[in-house]
Amino acid sequence: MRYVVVAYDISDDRKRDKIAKELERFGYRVQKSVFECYVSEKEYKAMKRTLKSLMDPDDKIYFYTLCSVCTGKIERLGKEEFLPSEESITVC
Amino acid sequence: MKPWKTVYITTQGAVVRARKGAFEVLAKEEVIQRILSKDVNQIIAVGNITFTSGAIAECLKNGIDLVFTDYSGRFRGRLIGPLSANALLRMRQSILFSQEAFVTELARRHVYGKLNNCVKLLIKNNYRLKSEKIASAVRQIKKLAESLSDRKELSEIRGVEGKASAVYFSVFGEMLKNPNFKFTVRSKRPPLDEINALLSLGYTLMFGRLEGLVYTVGLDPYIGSLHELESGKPSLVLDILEEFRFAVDALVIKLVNKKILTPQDFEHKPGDDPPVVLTRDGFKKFVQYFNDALEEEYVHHDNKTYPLKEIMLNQARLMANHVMGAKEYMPFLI
Repeated sequence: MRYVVVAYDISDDRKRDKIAKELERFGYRVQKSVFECYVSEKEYKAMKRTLKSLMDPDDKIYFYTLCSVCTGKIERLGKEEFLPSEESITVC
Repeated sequence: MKPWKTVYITTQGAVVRARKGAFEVLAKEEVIQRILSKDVNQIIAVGNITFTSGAIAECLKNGIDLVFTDYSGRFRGRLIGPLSANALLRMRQSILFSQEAFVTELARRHVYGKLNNCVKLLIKNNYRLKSEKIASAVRQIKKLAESLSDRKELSEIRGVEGKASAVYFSVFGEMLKNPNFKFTVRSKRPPLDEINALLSLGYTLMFGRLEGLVYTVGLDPYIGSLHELESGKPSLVLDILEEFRFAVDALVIKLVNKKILTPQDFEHKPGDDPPVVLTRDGFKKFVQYFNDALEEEYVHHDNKTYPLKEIMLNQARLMANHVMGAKEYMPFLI
């Protein structure tokens, strides 16, 4: 399993929407073009494959994997909507 | 691919629905939380929570443990998917647990585990308290534990457990150092004061978790040894739970002594059942610390440490192995 931050920069509107829709299956949209996902290796590979097929030559998609020490140090300023909190419980 | 989250839904009147592989929790028609089903492994619905049929189907499809409690945290029941195909295991369980020698020995081990863990907790707390009352209770419980090997009848073993519990709770209040909370006697149905309410809530949450694990390993929760089968309660779960109650006790002591919980975290409703409950904020606090307690590490097999929640699963597995004749059940000793 890995905790990965996915940040993308996609020029084509339709492709950008498709990418967001695909990422919604794996994680949580924390900013306009940034998702945080907790995925297995299998899911990670599948995610990358699909996203790659939706990219144009000028586009960028970066995957930042964080270990549990680092996820514990995440700080967020501003609106906190549906955060995939690193804690293993959610109380709502 | 292990889902990692337990979700507690405490907002009264909330509606839980499923949307595109995620659960959405709505309060007053506004989405207050969204979690992917793949990330969830257990949902605890506290009080008045509505699940749409889609949400229920999503739980069943993903094997998500859905547990229902009332507003005070009292266990109501759980959603069970198709039972595991472990008929052979359950058949062996039925046969073995109808044999007196088998259940007597198993009950002996559960009680030994419980008494050992109670004693260790008392000793640990008495290190700084240096109370003679606690020291005396420790001596009494140790003596009772030693007498277990001489007891040949199941009724005698139950008797030992009952006596030891009485001694333990007679000094439980000595371990609490918060003038706002007093504990004199254990009250269960219903809990009559704050400390009893916390103990009952903690035991219920731990029970709920353990029952799920017993189902997971394919055993029948209702066929146990120490606890009476006729009572209609999941006696196997209650048997194994005895070894883990100390962790709830330790948690309650910590929350009270460190003033993490205060009288403001409780609501008193004199006519109601129960007459004392945690406020929503108090409940949230309790649940956070309860979860931390499940992550605490203890030495278990081969001198390695494991988080408590994993030890719970290991004990359930060990019981299944014991029924299959592959291993001997040994209680969890701290």
